[in-house]
Amino acid sequence: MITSMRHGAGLIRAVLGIGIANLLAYRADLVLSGVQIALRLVVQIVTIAIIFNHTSVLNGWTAGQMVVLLGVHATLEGWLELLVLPSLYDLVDAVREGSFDFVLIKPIDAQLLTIIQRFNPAGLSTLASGLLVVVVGVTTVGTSASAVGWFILTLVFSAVILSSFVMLLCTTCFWFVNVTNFIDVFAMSFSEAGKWPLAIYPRWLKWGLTVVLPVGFAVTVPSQAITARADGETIAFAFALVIATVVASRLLWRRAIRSYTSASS
Amino acid sequence: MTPWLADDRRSVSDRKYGRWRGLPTYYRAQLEMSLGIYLAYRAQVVGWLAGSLIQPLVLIPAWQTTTGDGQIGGYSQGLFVTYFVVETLVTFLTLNFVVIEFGARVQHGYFSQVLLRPVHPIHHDICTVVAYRIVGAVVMVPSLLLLTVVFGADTSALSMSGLVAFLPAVLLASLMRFVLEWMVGCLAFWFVRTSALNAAYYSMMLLLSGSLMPLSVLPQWAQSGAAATPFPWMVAFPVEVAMGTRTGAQVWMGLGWQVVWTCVIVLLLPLVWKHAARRHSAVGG
Repeated sequence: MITSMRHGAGLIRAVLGIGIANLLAYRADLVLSGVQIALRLVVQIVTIAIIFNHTSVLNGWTAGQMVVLLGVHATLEGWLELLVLPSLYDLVDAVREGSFDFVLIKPIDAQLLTIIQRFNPAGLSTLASGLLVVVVGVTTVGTSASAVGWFILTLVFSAVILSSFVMLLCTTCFWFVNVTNFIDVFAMSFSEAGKWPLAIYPRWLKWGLTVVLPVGFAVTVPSQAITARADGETIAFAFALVIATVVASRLLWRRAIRSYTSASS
Repeated sequence: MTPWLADDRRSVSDRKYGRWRGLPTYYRAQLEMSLGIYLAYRAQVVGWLAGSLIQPLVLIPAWQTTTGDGQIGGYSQGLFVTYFVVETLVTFLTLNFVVIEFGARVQHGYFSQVLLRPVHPIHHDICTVVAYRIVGAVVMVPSLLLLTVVFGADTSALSMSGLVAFLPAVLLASLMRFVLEWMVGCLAFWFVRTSALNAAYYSMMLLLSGSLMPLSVLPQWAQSGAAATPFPWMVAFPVEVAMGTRTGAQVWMGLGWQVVWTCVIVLLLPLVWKHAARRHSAVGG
């Protein structure tokens, strides 16, 4: 157990190293992705500014709290861009083309290897700028030490929920083959629906964005936690969702591996 | 590579048959092929369409919550629903993938094949766009009707005369957006890595075209600023015509501006294209 964990840690370090080498090789790309992130945030903040030109509170959310939410959104988006989405796009290709064989024959857990196989350093800049926006937002609305603790915990919960959820979606590629579509739709709904707190949605959409596609929930909860507005019930529910998505994605993965027949000839 | 279509280098068949003679046949064949491709990958088309429906699904509640029982920029809750439903339709009817595809073509060297054909590549893109709309309409139209019902749109603003004026407005918007994005796409020949450039273009498009919000909710100075750019004519204008916010002379003025912008771009396009294609240096094979 210990050796396999040490092995896993070494592997993650190696993948990180390759990613950083890539990052330094394409410095211009890093600048360009920085420009893109900045533009995206500008559009979002301008939208918020226009909305709060017409109202002072959006169903319980003040302008400062909305800025915090945008920051949380960008942080989680950065996490997805960094590792999860690129790795899973690779998985879908590998299963279709049969090169998934090479993942399977390696003496490490195939699911772990799958999720860390591709590291896109540009995600780091999104993640960092997201955290920066959170800090800027928090300076206007205030926080406490315990709220920061809850924030970190719920942020990790959200990252796990989102990752396991996309993993779950992508594992269906073992049966449906080309599911890049699912990832695209997930990514699009995260970047659109995740920018708003659950509070603005009608009931059915609130549930949809919590249980069916947990993108709204994942962004809302940490944003509430840092301004000390998340109640115990919500955090417990988040924890339950973590367990549910992790277990489901692990079980489905096992089934998928068993039915994998390799596409290569 | 020297561009095929530089005027002084017409091919033999061009001189013999004239430049446009073969085009109807080409269009029929290419349109059939593009339709076939989209029908074969219909799951992918449904995925893209689902993606474009997420935006109204999110923006409608956001603006409804902001509005409450009042009105913002002349829009009540029900009118916001109508606005975003019509806006989604307009976006669907004007959207094209030219900018994204151009980058890929130049980066991966696909342009060599395209340039070898004795037909200007713009005709291929027109066929692709038309085919996408035909296949997509099957999903788009019922989804928009569903949005209208679920969110309780105020459809009293839609009138027959508005819809009649909407047709030329949306057609011109589509044409204008197509030629403009073809020109923006050509910039890929100079920059190769176009991601930041495209992001800048799309950010302006989002904020100034009326896709994220009706332009009347912007502060006055921003509204006049937006009016000086081509963006509102591609989305906001057709929506406002359909909703009856622009009537009579305003419609004619708007159509006039669309024609002016389109003509300016169409006149510039061959110049840009000529220089762009000259820069092409076939990456890969």
